[in-house]
Amino acid sequence: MKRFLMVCLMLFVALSLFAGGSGEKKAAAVEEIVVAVPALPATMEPGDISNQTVAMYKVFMNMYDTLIKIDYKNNTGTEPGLAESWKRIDDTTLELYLRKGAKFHDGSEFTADDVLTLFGPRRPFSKDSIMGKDKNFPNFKEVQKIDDYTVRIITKKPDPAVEQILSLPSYSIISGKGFNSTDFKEWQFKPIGTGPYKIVEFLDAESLTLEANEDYWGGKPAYKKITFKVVPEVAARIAGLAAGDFNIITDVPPDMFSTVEATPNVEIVGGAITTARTIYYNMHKPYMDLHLRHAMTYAIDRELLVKTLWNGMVEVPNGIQWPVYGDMYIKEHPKAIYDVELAKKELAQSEYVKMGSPVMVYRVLKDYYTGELDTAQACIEMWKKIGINVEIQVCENWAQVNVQDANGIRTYDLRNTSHNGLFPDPVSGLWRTYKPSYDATKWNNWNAPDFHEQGGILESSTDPAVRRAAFKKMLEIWDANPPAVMLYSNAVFFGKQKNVDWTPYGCQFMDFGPDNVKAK
Amino acid sequence: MHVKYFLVKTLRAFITTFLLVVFVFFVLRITGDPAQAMLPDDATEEDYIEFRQIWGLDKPLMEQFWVYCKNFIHGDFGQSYKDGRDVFEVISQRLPKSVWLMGMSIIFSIVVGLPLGIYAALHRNSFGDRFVMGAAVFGFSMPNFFLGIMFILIFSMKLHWLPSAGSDTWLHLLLPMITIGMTRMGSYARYTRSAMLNVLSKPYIITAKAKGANRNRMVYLHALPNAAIPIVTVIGTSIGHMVGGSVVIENVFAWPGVGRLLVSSVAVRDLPVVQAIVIVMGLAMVLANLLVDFTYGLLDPRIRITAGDK
Repeated sequence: MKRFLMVCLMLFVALSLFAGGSGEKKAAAVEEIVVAVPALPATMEPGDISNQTVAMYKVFMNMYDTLIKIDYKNNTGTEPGLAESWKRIDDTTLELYLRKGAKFHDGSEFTADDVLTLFGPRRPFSKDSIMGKDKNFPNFKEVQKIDDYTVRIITKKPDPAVEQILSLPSYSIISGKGFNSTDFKEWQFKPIGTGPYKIVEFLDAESLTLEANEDYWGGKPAYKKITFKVVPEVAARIAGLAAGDFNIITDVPPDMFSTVEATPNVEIVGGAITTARTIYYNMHKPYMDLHLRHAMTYAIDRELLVKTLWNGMVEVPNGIQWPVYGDMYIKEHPKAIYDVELAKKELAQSEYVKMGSPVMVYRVLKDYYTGELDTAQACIEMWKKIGINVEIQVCENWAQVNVQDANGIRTYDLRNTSHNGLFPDPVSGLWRTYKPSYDATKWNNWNAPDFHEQGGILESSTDPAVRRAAFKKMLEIWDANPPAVMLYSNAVFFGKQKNVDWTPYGCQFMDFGPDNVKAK
Repeated sequence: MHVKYFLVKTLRAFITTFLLVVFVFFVLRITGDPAQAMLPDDATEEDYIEFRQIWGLDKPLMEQFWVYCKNFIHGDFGQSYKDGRDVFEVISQRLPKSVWLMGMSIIFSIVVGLPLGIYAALHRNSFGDRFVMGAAVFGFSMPNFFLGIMFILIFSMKLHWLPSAGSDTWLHLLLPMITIGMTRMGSYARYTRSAMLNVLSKPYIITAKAKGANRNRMVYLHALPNAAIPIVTVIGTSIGHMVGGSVVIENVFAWPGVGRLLVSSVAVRDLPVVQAIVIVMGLAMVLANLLVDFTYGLLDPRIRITAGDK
C-alpha cells in the first residue's frame, strides 16, 4: 500500500508542477512552526525508560536541560548546561557547580534539591521507581548536596564518561517540587523543566504544543510556538509539507527526495548520524560458527547498498565509531571487507554447509529503520549468490521478532539492530550495545570474554591512552569474532521549508533552542 | 406481539455482546506477551516479572478472565499499560473525534447518496442516470486510502484550499469526511436507485400516476417509504464498515481518533486499550444492527408480526 501511495504521490507532484502549481507560501520570517513526526513519546516524562526512543530524541531537548550538555552543533564535546562548571574531586567523585538564576517553567528557581530529585525516590535510580529502572548509568552510587548550588555525583568505580552520561535526555532536570507535589498520572503529561520551550498542551501522543520560555537562561528562543504533530504516513507528511501545513517533516526516505524537492521553497536537510546499522547473528544456532559469520559479512557489498538505497548519502563506517569521538577515534581501523571469493571459501568450511545449508530466518520490521526492508532484501540476494539461504519474515513489532522457544531462546537466525552513539565516546556506542547485559551476549550467545575485558577497561579507566588502546582492541575483536553484520551508518533526513531557520545535528536530536537557532 | 419482536432482537444483541467480550479477551491473550512488546530491548528478567506482576499477567488465565468480567460489569476497562491512565479516559479523549468524523461522513453520504439514487431512478437510462451511476461505481470501487491521498494532493498540495492533516478546525474535517463518505455515498446511490426502480414499477405507483398524483408526493410519500427496507439495511451495515475504514483514513489524515489509537495500541500490545476499543466498535455494530431491526419493524409491520409469531 505504501509503495502505491508513493507512486500516486510522485505522479501528482509531477502533474502539479506541470500545471504551474507551487508550494510557495509564507515567505516572511517564521515565528511559529509545525513539525510533522511519525510518532511522539507516550508521555513527556524524560526519566520514563519506555520513552527512551527516537520519538523522545526529537522533542525532549526543547523542553528540558541537562546538567552538562554536548555541543552537537560544533562537535566540541561537553559544554555547560544547568551546571556552569564541574571538576573531578577524585576518581569516583564529580563536583558540579550549578547555574544560579535558572528558572523552571513555573517560575521557581533551580537548585541542588532538583538534582537530588533526579536521583531520588520514585525515579529510575530508586528501588521504588514508577518509571522503570535506569540502564545507562549502572556505575552511579549516590548524589550529595554540598550547598544549594553545589552537588557531588559519586560513582561505584572510576568512570571516565560521567560528564557525557549526564548529558543524556533521560537525565533531564525536572522541578523537584513539581514532581513531588503532583499526582504522577497528571505530571507525566506536563512535567516542569527549564528548557527553551515550555509545554502548553500534550494531546495523547498525537500533538505537542510548546511555547517560548522567555525567561530561558540560555537566551531568547527563536520561535514563539512549536507544534509537533503525529503524521504516521510519509506520503501524508510530504503532501502536508508541500501544502504548507507543516514547516518541517522528519524521516524522509531517500527515494522520496526528488518528490519533496519538486516543490519550490522546500529542501531536504540532514544526513548521516552517529548510528550504525547492523544485523545480529543468533549464535545459539549450531551452524552459526565463525566461518559462516565471516562468509555472511564478506558477501555484503555495502558500497552498492549506500549508492542504490541511500543515493550515496550515508557512509560505511570503519567499525562502530565516528570521527566525533576525537582522540578516541581509531582512524586507521579498516572498514568491513567485501570479497565474494573469500566469502565462498569461508562458507565452504562452515558447519552450515555440512548441515545441508538450511534456510535461515531473518526477522525484520517494516521500515522501523529507514529502508529496512529494501536493505534486507538486497542482503539476502547477496547471500544467495554465495549459497546461503535466508528467508525474510516481516514482523509487526519487536515482540514478534524476538519470539522465544520453550527454552527461552530467541528463534530468529538474523535480526536487525542499530547502535546509537548518544554521546561522543565509545562507551555510548560500541560498549553500551555489546556489554554482557545487552542482546549479543544475553540473547544471541556471543562468546567474547576478551571483548568484555577490554570494555571493562574502557568504561573504568581515566587514562586516555589506556582507553584508546582498549577501544582499538575491542574493534579488532568485533571484526575477528563478529556478533553482527556491519551495514552502514544510519542517516536521518528532513524536509523543510527554506525560510525556516533550523539545522539538524549529526544525531537524532532536534534542537530548536538558542544553541542551534538564534532569535532574530 | 410487537414487544416480543423487540425483546427477541434485544436478547440477540445481548448474546452477541457477551460472545464478543469473551472472544476479545481470549484472542488477545494468544497474540503475544505485552511485556515483550512494551519493555525496551535491554529489559532484564526482573523487569519482565515486575511488569507482569503489576498488570496481573502472572495470574492464571481464568483468574484474569474473572477479574476482567467483574471489572467489565462495573464499567471498568482497566488501565493502559502504556501510561497507567484509565482506559475509559484514554478512549473518551479520542472517541468524540471519531464519532464526529463518522457521524458527519454518514450524514454526508446519506444526504448526497439518497437524492442521487432517487434522481437516477426517476431518470432511468438518461445521461444523468449513467453519470450518477458511473460516479457511484467510482466512489465505492476506489479504496478510501487512495481517494484520501488523491484529495490531499489536489485540495491541499495543488489548490491549497484545505488542510492535509489534523483535526483543529472544521476545515480539517472536510477531506476525511468526504473520503469516507464518497465510498458509502456510491453504494447508497446504487441501492436507492434499484430499490426505487423496483417500487416505481409496482401497480400502486402506476395507479397513483394514472390518477394524476403529484409527482413529489408520489415519490416521497408512496415510493420512498416502500423502498426504504434495503436502503436502511445498507446504511446500518455500512456504519460498521465505516468504523473499520476509519482506522485507515485516520492514519492518512492524521486524525486523532479511536482508529489511530487502535493501531498504536495493537503495536505495543496495550491489551486493556485494544480490548476496550474492539468492544466499543463491536457494540457500535450490534447497536446499529439492532436499530436496523427495530426500524424494519417500524417501517414494515409485516416483519414484526411474522418475527413475533415465531
